[in-house]
Amino acid sequence: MPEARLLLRDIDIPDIEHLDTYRAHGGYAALERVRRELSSNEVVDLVARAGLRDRGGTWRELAPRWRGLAGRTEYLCVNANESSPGAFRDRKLIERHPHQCIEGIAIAAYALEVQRVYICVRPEMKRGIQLLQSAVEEVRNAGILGIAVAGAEPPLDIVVHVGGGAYIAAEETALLASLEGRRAEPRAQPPLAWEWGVWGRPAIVENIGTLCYLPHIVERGADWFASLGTTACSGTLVFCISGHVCRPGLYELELGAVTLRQLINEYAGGVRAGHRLKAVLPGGGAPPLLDEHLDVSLVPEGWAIPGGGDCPSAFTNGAVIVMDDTVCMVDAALNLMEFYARESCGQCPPCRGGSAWLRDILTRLEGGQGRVDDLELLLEVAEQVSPWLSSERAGICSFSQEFSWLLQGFLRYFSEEFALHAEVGACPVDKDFSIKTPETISVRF
Amino acid sequence: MGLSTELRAECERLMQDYSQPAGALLPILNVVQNTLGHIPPDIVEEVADLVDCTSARVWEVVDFYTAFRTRVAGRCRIQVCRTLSCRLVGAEDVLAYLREYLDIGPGQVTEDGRFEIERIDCVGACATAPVMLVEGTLHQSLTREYIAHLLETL
Repeated sequence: MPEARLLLRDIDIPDIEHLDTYRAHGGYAALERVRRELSSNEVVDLVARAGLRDRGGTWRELAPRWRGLAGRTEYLCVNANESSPGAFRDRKLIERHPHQCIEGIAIAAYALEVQRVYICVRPEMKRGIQLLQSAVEEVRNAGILGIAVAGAEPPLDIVVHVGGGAYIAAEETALLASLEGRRAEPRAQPPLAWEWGVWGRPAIVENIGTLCYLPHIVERGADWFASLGTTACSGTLVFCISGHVCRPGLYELELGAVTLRQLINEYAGGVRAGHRLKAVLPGGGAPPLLDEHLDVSLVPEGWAIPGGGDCPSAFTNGAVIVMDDTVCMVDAALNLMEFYARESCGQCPPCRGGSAWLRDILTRLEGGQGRVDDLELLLEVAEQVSPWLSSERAGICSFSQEFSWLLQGFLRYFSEEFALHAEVGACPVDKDFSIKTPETISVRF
Repeated sequence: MGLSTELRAECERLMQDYSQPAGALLPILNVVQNTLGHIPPDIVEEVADLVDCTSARVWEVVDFYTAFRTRVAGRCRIQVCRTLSCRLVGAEDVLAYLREYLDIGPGQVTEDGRFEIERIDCVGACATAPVMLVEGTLHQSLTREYIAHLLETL
């Protein structure tokens, strides 16, 4: 099955990051059409009919929230703080195709009747920041955002907000805090983020990759978009695949059209020759899967989270990391737990203490100082933070669920390998830390 | 030492994008750090006055976000990604090569003060792992030859 490229359709066109080239390929026609032919409500209707859902990992439908908020919200905050391990879609969409992002944002702003947009981006995306800023400059100068007329509504204003770089700043309320110039600490809701958003005013947060679909929906119609994917989840997803595969990169596929195994073997070329697949992390923050799980369809429905399906993991942002048989699972779990312990914002004690405790136990296991009862302890701590795939959580946001499920997943499938570390008092795996160059990479980087 | 006239003007320009001055705090700190290489502690009060908040608030923000630092170590900052996708395909080897050429490891500065090496969390360029940032610029698909060549040109 060929890729279904919408967001990636034009990504390899030279100079597509410049306004002239983007326009020569039909860019901003959708925005012009929206302004000419549709009311803001009609755009929301279009988004509803298309069934567009969030691609940032929650898979909630956009339209219901937009319907309640159009005309009432003051700011649109675009989440471009992509920091989840293995995720590189938004970076590429921004760096290779910034005008597609701006056009999608402008259509959303029209639908929501907001005049002020903040694109919240992490400082490590230096080139992306420059490209977004020059794209905004280009459309402002070309009058695409509107022209200031005395006595009329001011033109749309898009600001590229460079944050401080923290994984947690991608959480909705944390993102809003960073926009107010505060620490990116999530807060309890209510008051709901869109009612009490920025500076006490209503604000709505949407992922940048999600909004990139809007020009395509306008151009080709809501019914066409709804016909892609499944009935419940329409459209495509840009999958990011990295780790031990022959052809890492971005693959845009219709939701539900292929299985995880097909993505890994047919698109990404499978694991390196002479090796076998050991485990797969199927999405940002999602628990690991084994070879036996890979025949699951790539659409939220079949997954425990968010669809309530059988696949014992979460379908989130499509950031897949593949590990072959050279990987020590304690080492991989430790690497991720170090990430979570550093990135915990530290507000909620179970998350702050739990992530550090789990990291410390894994450190001593991997370092050969593990104790026989460490496995039990790991499981007990992780379960207390959040029981396996349960909605119970011991903190304000879902961060603590992510790492506790992740670790419980590793323990479910690799408890013997974990136990062996404690028994032999050393890491028994012959790890390979050498640089591995893949055959090819799927899109131009 | 305070903010230079140009830097202050740039900060004031950034503030126009926000309805509350403190909104510009993170962008201001980024500009200060990009210009001066770090956030000098003696400008914190001036920044606080500028965006109309307390120095404590500026300090807590500087402390919270990984991007900001209050002292400069080496003149050229090399940040090697350490997160899983990079680790799987050779982040440790990248550090080993850097050590061969520069004789330093993560958290250290060369004797002449030119280079410093740090580890950094996922920067979101995992298909082209292993990757590193050099003065904020992304370098991807690293190999031993690439690193040797890059260090010669820095």
